[in-house]
Amino acid sequence: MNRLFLSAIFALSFFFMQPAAMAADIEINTPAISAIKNSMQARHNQLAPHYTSGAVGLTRDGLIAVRDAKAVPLKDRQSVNTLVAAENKDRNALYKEIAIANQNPQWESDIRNTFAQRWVEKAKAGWWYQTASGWVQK
Amino acid sequence: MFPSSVTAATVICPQGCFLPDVSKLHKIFNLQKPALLLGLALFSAPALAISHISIEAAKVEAPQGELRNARLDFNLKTSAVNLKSQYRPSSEQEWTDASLNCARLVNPKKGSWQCDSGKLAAGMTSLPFSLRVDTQSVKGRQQFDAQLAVQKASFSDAAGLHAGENVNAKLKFKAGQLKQGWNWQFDLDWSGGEVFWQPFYITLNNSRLGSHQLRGKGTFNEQLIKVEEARLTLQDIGSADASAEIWRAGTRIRNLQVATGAVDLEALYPLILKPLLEKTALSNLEIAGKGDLKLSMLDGEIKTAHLNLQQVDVEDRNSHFALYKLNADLPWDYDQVKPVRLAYEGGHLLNLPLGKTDIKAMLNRYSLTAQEIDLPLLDGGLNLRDISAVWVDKGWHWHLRAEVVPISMTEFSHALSWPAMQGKVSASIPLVTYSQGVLMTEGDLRFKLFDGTIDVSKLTMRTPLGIAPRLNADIHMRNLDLGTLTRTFSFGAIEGKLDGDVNNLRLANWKPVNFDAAFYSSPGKYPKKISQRAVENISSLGGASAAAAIQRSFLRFFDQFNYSKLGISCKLRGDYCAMDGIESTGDAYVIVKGSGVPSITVLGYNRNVSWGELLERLKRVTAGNSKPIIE
Amino acid sequence: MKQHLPATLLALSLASILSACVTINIYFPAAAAEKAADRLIDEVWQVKERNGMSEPAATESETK
Repeated sequence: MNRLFLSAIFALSFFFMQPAAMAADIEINTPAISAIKNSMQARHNQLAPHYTSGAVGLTRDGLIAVRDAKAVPLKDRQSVNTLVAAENKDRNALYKEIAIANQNPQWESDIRNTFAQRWVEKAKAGWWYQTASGWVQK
Repeated sequence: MFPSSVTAATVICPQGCFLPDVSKLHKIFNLQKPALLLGLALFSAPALAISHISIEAAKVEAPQGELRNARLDFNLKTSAVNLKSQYRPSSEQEWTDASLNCARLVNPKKGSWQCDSGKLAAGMTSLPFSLRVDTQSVKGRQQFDAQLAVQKASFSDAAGLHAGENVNAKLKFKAGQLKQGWNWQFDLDWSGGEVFWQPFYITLNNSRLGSHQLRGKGTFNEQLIKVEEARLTLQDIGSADASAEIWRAGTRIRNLQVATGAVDLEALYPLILKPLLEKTALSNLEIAGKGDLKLSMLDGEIKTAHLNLQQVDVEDRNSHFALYKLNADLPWDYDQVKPVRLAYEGGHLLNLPLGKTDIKAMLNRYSLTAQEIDLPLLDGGLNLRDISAVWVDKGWHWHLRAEVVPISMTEFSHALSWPAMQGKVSASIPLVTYSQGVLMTEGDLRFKLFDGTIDVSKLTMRTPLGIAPRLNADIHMRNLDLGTLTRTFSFGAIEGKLDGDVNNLRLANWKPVNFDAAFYSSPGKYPKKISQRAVENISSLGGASAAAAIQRSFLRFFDQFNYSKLGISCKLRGDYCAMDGIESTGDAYVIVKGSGVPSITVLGYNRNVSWGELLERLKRVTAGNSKPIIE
Repeated sequence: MKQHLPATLLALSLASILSACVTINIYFPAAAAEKAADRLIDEVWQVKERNGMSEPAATESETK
């Protein structure tokens, strides 16, 4: 009895959030997507001046391309090529990872198309994007 | 440019001037350099007492493109020549204005022509030049000698991917007719300006005199261009010698030999190597040292190559790796097996110091094999055996056996700036294979850590060096010493032994997204004690209030408690962890089951926990941020 | 026991047909994808960089 009296049971509850009800949502918060997002975010400061100058534009397939290398001094042209290649590698990986994260790998092209439209929609005035008939300035 | 037709050619000149007949004009246009030679042909005609000649052609077509509204003016008083036209390459829609001027075209002697202050302008190309051409005939054989100098020339293609600015260069070119074909000789001296020729950007160090040079000589005939000797010298870098035979049809290489002298890699890297290595792990290096390369090709295929590196220091600017005093002797032969050797004094890989290493292997066309490679690492090392790698379909496929020669965890954890750990890590991996971006292990990796064992089985990695690497594995831990473990992670003291199983572990970008983990007291008899601090820390994972509860009770007078069993499990799916303990009591689960007097039992209530939140709290606990409040 | 077999098979095949239907009917949620894309693009292009939601929150809880 004595022993029972001395025992103290500590009920330590974990006060954590319950998972929010998952509606028809698209999951974009996985470690893989975050890694790609961070990599793209870090690159954006370098790319932004090239969007503004028209050296780089947004393509119809959700990627970017060197539109007019002449807007960049000769010595920096290869670094623009490198930036564009790295960005496209990330973007391709991003569309694939989002499809995988949502358990529907076959959605990759739908996701790519959605992004292609949204990048253009969110682009700043003066940036260039590609249409069926060629490059257009927003 | 070979025009296929000339339409509506008209010749305008004052009365009595010499008119070349139309058939001759057609012939003139059919020459390879229509603009220049048109001028030359006109001057060889005996045109006297004429002040001005104009020739117009409405349209000139050729497979490469078209000319329209071409107009050639020749002022006989000033000797100025002016050719204006619009052209359109066959790949383009738009017409571009083009002009070729020569302020003074003179004919100092028979067969010699000289154009001082000439200028070629077309679209984005502006080419101020001076040109001198001497022609003569020796025993019925033609000899040409041309000297061209360009000053502050700029050019660019429409996309800007091949462009130059402020280019100063001199070109000497000689050609002489042989019994069959011609011999030739050229000498290009580039003394200023910058050129971007995707992916290369080449410029000259303007701070001092010097130039990049390309010279060569050889012969050519209907079928073959023969380069008997050629030498490229790049300022501050080094030089390369070459000889070659090239089929004129399709510009195919029949054979080629290239040999560089000792090249300064520090200067070569930004200019040539970096653009070529853009998509590899070698794209952001700091490099110093010397190297040389020999290469031979036959019928368009590389036959032999030999790369030598001497005392090279390489450092990755992202600090992923570094190698110092690297010496390499890497011969390669399409037909023969060659021994290769690579040695370095030291370096580091992902912050782990690498010791002096000497690697010997055999290179057999596209495959590399080695019996054994020893990579000293800290106080131990990595012993690789039965290594075999092959390059197929633009990718590496390899397999090997590996053994970790015991490495002290104290040094290992220090090198990776982990919490200081004790003990040694050793492992043996029966077979590792890598193919198409997937790394797999057969058999278990066994680590000896914390006085116990950690076995990693079914380990696979996808794109380990990519942006979103994935890892799958099962991990089994046995008899880990809880004392060492809790001291290491400053989690209050727990005495005892711990077993753990982490099955179906999946990491994406090195963060867990899935696992079925269970940790529990190892079976057997040993002292089981838990300190008050540890109890508080476990409790504070559930929130600050629980930790404070102990402080308010009489339990704060006890330093440590006995326990009979502890355990916790977590099934992680995405960001949520389904938690459980060693047993259930109603809607709660037991994490620590007390024994003796006083006994303390830690219960968990919430079975669904946010993993991110849990990690945050764990981090705060081990960082010592939630110190117990002493009342 | 053997007589139960056809019934079991029927039940199993029904179950498999039902579950098959579920997987086939998955459609691409275009509107949700658009919203997700917008969120991600805002972050990558730092459209709302001034708001800086996450960082102040983290420091706040650390000073507790």
